[in-house]
Amino acid sequence: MCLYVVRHFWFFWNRMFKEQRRCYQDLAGTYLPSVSILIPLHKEEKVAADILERFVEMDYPKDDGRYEVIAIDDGSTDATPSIVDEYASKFSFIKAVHRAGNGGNGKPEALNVGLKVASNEIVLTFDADYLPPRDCVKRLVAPFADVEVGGVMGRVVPVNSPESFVTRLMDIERAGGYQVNQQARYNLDLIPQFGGTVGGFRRSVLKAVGEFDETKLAEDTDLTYKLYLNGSKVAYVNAAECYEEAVLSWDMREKQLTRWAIGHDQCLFEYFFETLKSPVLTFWQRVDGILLLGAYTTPLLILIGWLTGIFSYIVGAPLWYSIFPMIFFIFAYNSVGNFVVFAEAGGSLFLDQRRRSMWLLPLMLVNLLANVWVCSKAFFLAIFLRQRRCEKVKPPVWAKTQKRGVGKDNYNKALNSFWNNNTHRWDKTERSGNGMQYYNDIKNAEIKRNHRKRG
Amino acid sequence: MHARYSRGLRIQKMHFFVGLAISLVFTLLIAFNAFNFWIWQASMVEWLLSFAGVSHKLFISSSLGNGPTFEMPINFRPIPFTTVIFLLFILASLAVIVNIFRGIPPPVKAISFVVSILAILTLLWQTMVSPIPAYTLHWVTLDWSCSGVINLCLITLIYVPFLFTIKGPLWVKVFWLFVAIGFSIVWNLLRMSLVTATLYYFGGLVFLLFHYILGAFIDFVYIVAFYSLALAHLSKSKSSEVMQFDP
Repeated sequence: MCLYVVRHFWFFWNRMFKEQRRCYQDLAGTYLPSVSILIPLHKEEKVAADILERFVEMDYPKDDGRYEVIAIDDGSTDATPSIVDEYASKFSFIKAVHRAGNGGNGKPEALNVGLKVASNEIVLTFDADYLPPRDCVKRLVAPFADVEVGGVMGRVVPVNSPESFVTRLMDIERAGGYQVNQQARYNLDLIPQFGGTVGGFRRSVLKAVGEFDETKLAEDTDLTYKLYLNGSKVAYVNAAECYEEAVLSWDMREKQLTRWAIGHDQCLFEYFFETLKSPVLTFWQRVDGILLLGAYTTPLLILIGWLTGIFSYIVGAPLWYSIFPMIFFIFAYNSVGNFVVFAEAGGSLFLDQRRRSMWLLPLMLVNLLANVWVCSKAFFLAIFLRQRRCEKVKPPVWAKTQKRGVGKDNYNKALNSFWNNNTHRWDKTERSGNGMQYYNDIKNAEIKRNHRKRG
Repeated sequence: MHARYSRGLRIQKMHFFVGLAISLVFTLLIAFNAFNFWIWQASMVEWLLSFAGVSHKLFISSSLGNGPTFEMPINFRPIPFTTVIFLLFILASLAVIVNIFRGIPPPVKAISFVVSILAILTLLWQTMVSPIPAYTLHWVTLDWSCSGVINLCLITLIYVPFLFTIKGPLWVKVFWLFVAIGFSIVWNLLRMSLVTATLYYFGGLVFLLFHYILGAFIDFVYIVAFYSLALAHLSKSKSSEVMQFDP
C-alpha cells in the first residue's frame, strides 16, 4: 500500500509541476500514414450511426485507401447491421463486416476478425459509444512516426457527465486516470496503458506478439504488456481527446468494473514474473509494471486494511496506548494513503479548470466503496477462473490418495453454475445513446461563448 | 471542444515553505500542549454531555499517559448467549441478502459488509474470547487515539504538498487550512460527545460501531471536502489567468 501511495504522490507531483511530454503533437497533421480504424459493434443500434458519422466527418485524407473504417457487426440482432450497411454503401472508405451466428463472444474476437480485413499498418480501435472530434485520428497517428512506438493511447472524456450521479463520478475518475496518471507515466517513461479504445497499434508489432487474446477480459492490458515485453512502447497523447458515454447506473458500473478487474487480474497472474525478470524493461518500468498489474488488487488491500483495523480496534485497545507510532501509521494510511488518489483527481480537475466538478470530489468516497466491493469480489473470481483453466490444461499427475471423487464433481458443478450465473461471459455494457445530444449541447454552448467573446 | 491544460504548473516554492513552517509550528504546538488541549477538549465535552443529560464525572490525572477520563454509570449486563447467536444469525443473513440483490448499489454492499463484520467480530469477541463481567460504571478516556490530535497534524501535512504548492494566492491556502483545522476541532468535540452519549444511552456495541465509523471514515471525508473547496477557490482566483493553454 505504501508503494502505491508513493507512486500516486510521484504522479501528482510530476503531472502538476514537471515538464510535460507532448507526444509528437507537432507532427499532427503533417505525418499522415495509412490508417485502418476498427469499430466492434454488438447490438449498438442506439449509437452506431453517431460514431460512423463522426468518422465520416473526420479531418483526414480519405484518398487511395489511406483511411479505412471497418465496422464489425459482431452478431447483432437489432438494427446495427442495417445501419452499418447503409454507411458502407454510401462511403467507399467504410467497410462492413458481419459476424452473424458466431458473433457476440467479446471484443477481442471481433477485433481479430476486423484485423484480417484491415489493410493498413497503423490500426486504431474505438468502442461504439465514443464520439471522436475531427482532429482525433491525426493526433493519434502522429506518435507512430517514431519506430519505437508500438501502441498509442488518447484521452477518454465522458460526455454525459450530468446524466446521473454515477456518470459524474465516472467523469472525475477518468479525469484523474488520464490527465494525471497516464500523462505522468508517459512523462516518466514508465508504462502508460493502451486502453483498448481511443488508441491504436502497429499491425506488424501485434502480429509479432500474436493477436488479441480471446480468453482475456482485458485484451487492452494484455496487449500493453505484450508490447512492452517485446521492446515496443505505448505513447500517451493527452491532446487526443475522445468523448465517451459513461455508464449510467451502479448495476452497469458493477458489470463493467468486474470485467475490467477480472481481466486485469488475469494479466497479473500471467505477466507478474515475466515483468519482474524482463531484460528489456528498465528498473522503474518493471516497478511500475508490477504496480500497474496489481492496480485492481489495491481495493482488496484496502478492505483487508479496514478489517484488520476493526480487529485491532476490538482486540488490542490496551496495546494501542503503548504503540503510538502504529496508531499514527494507521491514521496516516487511512488519511494520506487514500487521500493521494483524491488529490490526483483534484489535480486533474484543477488542470482542466473544472471548478464545479471539484466540489464533488468528496463523493468519490462512494466510488471508492464500490471499487472496494467489486474489485475484491473480482479478484477471487479471477482466481477461480485461472484455477479452472489450469485444470483443463495440466491435469494433476502425482500419485494421489484414492478418493470417491464426489467432492470434485460437486465442486466443479458448483463452479460451473457459479460461472454461468456470473461474469464469466463478456458482459456487454448497455448504452443509453444520449451521448450525441450532450456532445451537441457542449458544442453549441462553445459556439455561443465564442460569438460572445468576438462581439 | 474544451482547450484543456496540457502543460505543468510552476511550483509555488515560497508558499510550500510557508506551509511547511505552519505545519511544523502547529505540530510542535500540539506535541508540547497535547495534555492541555485534552483538558480543554474534556471541559467542552463535559458541557455537551451535561446538555445531553448524560450523568458523568470527569477525572483529570497528572500523568500524560492517562488523559482526562469520563466516568459514567451504566447498568451493563452481558448479552445472553442465545441472543448473541440470534443476532449473529440476523447479521450474517443481512450481509448475504444485501450481497445477493443486484439492485443494491456496490457502495451500500461494501458498507453493509464492513459494518456486519465489525458487529459480528465484536459480538463474538465479547461472548467467546473475552466476556465482560456485569458492571455499573464505565470509563471513556480522551487520549492520542481518540481525541483527534493526530488528524490535526495530518491535515497540515497533507495540505502542504497538495495545496500550498499549487498556483494561487497564499491567503486562500492559509484560509482553507485554518478552516479545515477549525472544523476538525469542532468535529472532534461533537464526535467525542456523541460517542460518549451513545455509550450511555445505547450500550457498548453501538458505542464501538459509532466510534469506529465516525472516526475512521468521516474524518477522512471532511479532509477531502475542504481540500476540494480550497482547490475550487484557487481555480476561481486570478491564478487561472496566467495558465497557458495549448493551441
